[in-house]
Amino acid sequence: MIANTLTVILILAGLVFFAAGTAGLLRFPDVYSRLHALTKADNVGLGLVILGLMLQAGGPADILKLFLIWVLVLAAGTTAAHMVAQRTWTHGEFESDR
Amino acid sequence: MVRVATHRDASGRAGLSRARTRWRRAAWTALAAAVLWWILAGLDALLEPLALLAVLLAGAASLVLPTSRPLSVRPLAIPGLITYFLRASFLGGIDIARRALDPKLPIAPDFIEYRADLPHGPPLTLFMAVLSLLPGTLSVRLEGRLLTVHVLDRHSHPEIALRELEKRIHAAFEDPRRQSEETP
Amino acid sequence: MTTFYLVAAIFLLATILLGLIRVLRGPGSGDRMLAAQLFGTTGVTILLLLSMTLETPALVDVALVFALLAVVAAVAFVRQHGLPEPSGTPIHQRHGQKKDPDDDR
Repeated sequence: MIANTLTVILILAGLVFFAAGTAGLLRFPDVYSRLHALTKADNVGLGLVILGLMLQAGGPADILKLFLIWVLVLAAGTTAAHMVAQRTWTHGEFESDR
Repeated sequence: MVRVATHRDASGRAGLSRARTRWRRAAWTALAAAVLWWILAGLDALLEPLALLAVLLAGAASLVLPTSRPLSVRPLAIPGLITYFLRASFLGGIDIARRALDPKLPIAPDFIEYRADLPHGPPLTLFMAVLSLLPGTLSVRLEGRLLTVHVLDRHSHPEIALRELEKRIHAAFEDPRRQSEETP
Repeated sequence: MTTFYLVAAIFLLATILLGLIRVLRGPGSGDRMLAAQLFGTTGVTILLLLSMTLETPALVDVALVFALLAVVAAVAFVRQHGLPEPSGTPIHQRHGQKKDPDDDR
């Protein structure tokens, strides 16, 4: 029961971060700022949701698998953000689709 | 796989410790593979002959394949780094959420240049990766050691946070340059 | 509890749809690439929540694969026009070669 309540609270908190990430994506003025919004807010949102789901997990392997997913998404998110930022820096914001 | 000898393993004793390092690395790789198999497929699947073969092959691969320069990590500094990272990335999320949801949109984006005093390789890569998750900073480009960083708020003194992160990563990795100075 | 997971997943789907407005409007090509990021993180979360609703643990493995593929999409975007950089950008110093760049201190 306590675990269920905690899960609900954690997931709801995570959803707030996802909503904030999307708000930033729509409102921020340039690509770099939008990248900030997506990577940071969504990663914290995913972290909270995963923390909530860990409380419902069946065993240590399930918990570790959820943790592995979070680490992978974290690594992928920060790498992708850097690469898109670097691409925008070197090639300019408006690339033609050759 | 013969690798070019560096100045450090000129004597036989150093060569011996080098071989030991390679075996230790192989054992760690096999252990990591076993844990990964357990996480992905469960405990029963780990006891299958195929799984044991895969784990052994993973360990053997790290012996056969050429490896990069062995990385010296200080195990004691790792928990501190992880705690710092979790705290800072959570603060980063809160910071961005606050700015994105604020009706006034309090951001002042700008680029700053930062010269990182970390060796190339994993330390610098880790620095650039974690940098993008700290509050208000995003790594854009690296040229030599000069890093271009996008900051969300130019009044928030991002250099202080970057120095702090650099100091912590420095503490977690043993610098090969310093080591060779200490043991000539 | 099952309903809660479902509602949360639908909420996340709505944030993805809103995010797609940015992808549609652009204006830059980097903005469009943000879709991969969006699907990467939010999509993984939706899959995890759905695996709880539908009681299908295999969806967790699908989420794992999604997490791995998200970075591949970003690499594909960055490399789509080949390696050379335009002449306007500063020359990139190649590191990791014979001469240790650490000497420049």
